[in-house]
Amino acid sequence: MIKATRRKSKLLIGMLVVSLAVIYLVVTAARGATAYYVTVAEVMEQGPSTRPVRVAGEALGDTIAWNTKDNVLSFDVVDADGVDARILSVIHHGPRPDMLRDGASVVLEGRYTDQGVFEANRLLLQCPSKYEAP
Amino acid sequence: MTEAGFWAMIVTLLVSLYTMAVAILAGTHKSSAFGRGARTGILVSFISSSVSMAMLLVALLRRDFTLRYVYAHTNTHLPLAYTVSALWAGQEGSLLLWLWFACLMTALVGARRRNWDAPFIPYTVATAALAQGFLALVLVVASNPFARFPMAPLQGRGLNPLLQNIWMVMHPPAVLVGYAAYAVPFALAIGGLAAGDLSATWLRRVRYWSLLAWLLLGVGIIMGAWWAYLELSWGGYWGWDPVENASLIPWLTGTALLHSLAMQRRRGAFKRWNVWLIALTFVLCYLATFITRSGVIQSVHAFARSPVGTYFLIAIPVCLIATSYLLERRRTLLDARQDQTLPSLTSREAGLIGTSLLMVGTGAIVLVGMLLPVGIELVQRRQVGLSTDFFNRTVVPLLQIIVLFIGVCVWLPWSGRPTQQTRQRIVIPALIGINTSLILQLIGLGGPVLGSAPAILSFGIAAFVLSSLIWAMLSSPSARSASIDTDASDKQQKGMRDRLKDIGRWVQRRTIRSGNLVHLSMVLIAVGVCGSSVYQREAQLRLAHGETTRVGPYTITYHGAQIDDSPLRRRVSAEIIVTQGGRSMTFLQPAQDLYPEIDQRVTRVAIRSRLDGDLYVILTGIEGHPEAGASIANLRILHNPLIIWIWIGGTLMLIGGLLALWPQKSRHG
Repeated sequence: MIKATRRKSKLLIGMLVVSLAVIYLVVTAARGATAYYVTVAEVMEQGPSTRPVRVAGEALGDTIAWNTKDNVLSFDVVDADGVDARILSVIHHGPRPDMLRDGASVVLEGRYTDQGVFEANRLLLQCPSKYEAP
Repeated sequence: MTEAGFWAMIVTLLVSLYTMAVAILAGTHKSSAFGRGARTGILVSFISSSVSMAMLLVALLRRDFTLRYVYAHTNTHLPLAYTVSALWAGQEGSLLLWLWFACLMTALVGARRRNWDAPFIPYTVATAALAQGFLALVLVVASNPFARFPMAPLQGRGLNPLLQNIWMVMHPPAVLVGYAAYAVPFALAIGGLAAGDLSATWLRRVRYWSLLAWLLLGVGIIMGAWWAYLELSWGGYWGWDPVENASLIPWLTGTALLHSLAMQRRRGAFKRWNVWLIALTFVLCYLATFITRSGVIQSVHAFARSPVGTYFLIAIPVCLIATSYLLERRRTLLDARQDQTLPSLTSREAGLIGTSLLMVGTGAIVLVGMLLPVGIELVQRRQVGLSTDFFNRTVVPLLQIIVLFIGVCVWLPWSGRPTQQTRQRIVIPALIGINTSLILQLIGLGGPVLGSAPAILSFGIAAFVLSSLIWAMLSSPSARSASIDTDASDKQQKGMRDRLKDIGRWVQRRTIRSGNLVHLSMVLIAVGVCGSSVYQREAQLRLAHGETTRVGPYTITYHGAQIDDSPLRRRVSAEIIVTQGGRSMTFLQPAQDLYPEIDQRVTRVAIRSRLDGDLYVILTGIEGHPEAGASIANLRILHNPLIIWIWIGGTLMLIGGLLALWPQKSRHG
């Protein structure tokens, strides 16, 4: 019986250690992986920064330019809610996503550079939902 | 005529409630008349939900654009197969399909007379009927697929071309049937607790349905990943998007459940934990539906926001409260006959508990990652995004440990410590594992690539686990006796048919014992995931007509472009020939489709799949004049090593699961 209880406490200590390790892992990972969403206006007001941010906006169809030769994509986005009329120019080194078209909601991950351009490392486009036609 | 579909849904709703009521009466009064009434109800609701499905299908096939649903998901150009699949391409249709699956499951559990001898069946049927009634209610009140326009539009909006893919046709119903099937273990748990019957029969049913639901959901998830890989042209298959996570979490807790159910079968322990896991898995399916339908969470999938999600959110606490109430009421039953002593830490039992805990922990982390942005937003009033790094740094190492566990558990005996003999035997697979890591390090796979040390380690783990599993499959006692059986039957010169049967039984016993085949498939998936994520290479190519270049071991030649115009789309495709080491030539045709009417571009990747890796060719643009034979192709080429093993693993998982579910004549253990 004593042996069993000792075993039980051993198990409990083991579980505690494991869960603490997991919590530590979660907290540190979360700290490094969260980024605030900012609006187009906020990005431009804050000015050039080295800190990466996430911007959600709406793509303007006429401005989408895809340079196949140099593999550079550029386009403009505006605030999705239409509150602010300011336009943010975006460049991205990478292929043109299929879903990038006029009015597409796009999430940009990257930073605002000295040249007044937002350099996006990652583009997230809203997928055509599995459940809805466009 | 399609009006009948709507009325059939109302019939389903009312009959489900009736079935629930009579089934409860059958349980309390032990009267066969009530039981008969409930069985009639089950059949009627199955028929009426089938009528709804048939009516929607008819409307889709006739392109009856007066129905909003038909207008939104088809048009007159859509091929037949995709018109049928439009049945579940939209929210209303997919809920209807879910309802139909739910009615089918209820019928499988409770339509047969002889099943009703078990005391837990009446309450189980009542719970299942309530769950299907809930779905019918949501359909009737908030998500009617038969809603109409006053006047029919001339043309429908069609199905997004990206969704026109065979795996996308199969993925949503597979996930939905998994969700529908998880209602059965939950109904059994409620039924068993309400009747006070957690007998071996009950447990066998729970295990069977948990395994079936787990398999269906797992296969559904893998098909979704495959679709993303084939269709979305980013070279990956999993993006830790909330929508993907939402279906992964119940699968993880469902996996935990399967392992702790084995504990209950062996030792009568973990009854409470299992009931909680069943309830948790079930409500997580509802949570997934809430998340995908409510628009609460920022996702790259743009779902139509609808009130449907709220209904599912409200159902979650109801289910949990009912579960905890019944658990409290059956306290004495749950504590009885429970083997309280914990076995040694090096026993199979400990391994199963560990697996169960780790799986729940992993599920919890995915859940935290999914809900964290919402939580932060509520507190700080600012929107926050969580990058995929979070999941790669937390979930991936945990899954790694779980894979290691598979291999270790092979060597752990039930209720005891490993004997001297097993301790000697484990040395061989351990050496295989260590050597694999060492060899990979020596041939330079660990060197230049950042972050490949964990990869080297995980290949070593995979080698250890694989060799352990193969040993287990070849040497388990049942396998040995089965092989003796085959020898004996050979001597008697049985007919061909008997011999085939023997071989089948032999394979079955070897592979399903402890789910060897399913575990093997998990290791293969792990190998594929590791190889393709750590060692993925990318190259940008710019090739003129007739030009050849080398990328790694491949020689790539561009042979001009083709333009193909059809009424709805213009396809520009590049003709590429790939050779590897001067032999095994492959013709690839990556393309870009443009659908001018809906302003949609679709990149069609071309993939050359081999066991050692895929060449994933994306056409990013054609310049010049393809007609005149003077064009330049811009290509993005990805090399995804070992990725095919994910799909092979997925297929093996399906086979292994089906073998385990297959009724066996001599079921022992």
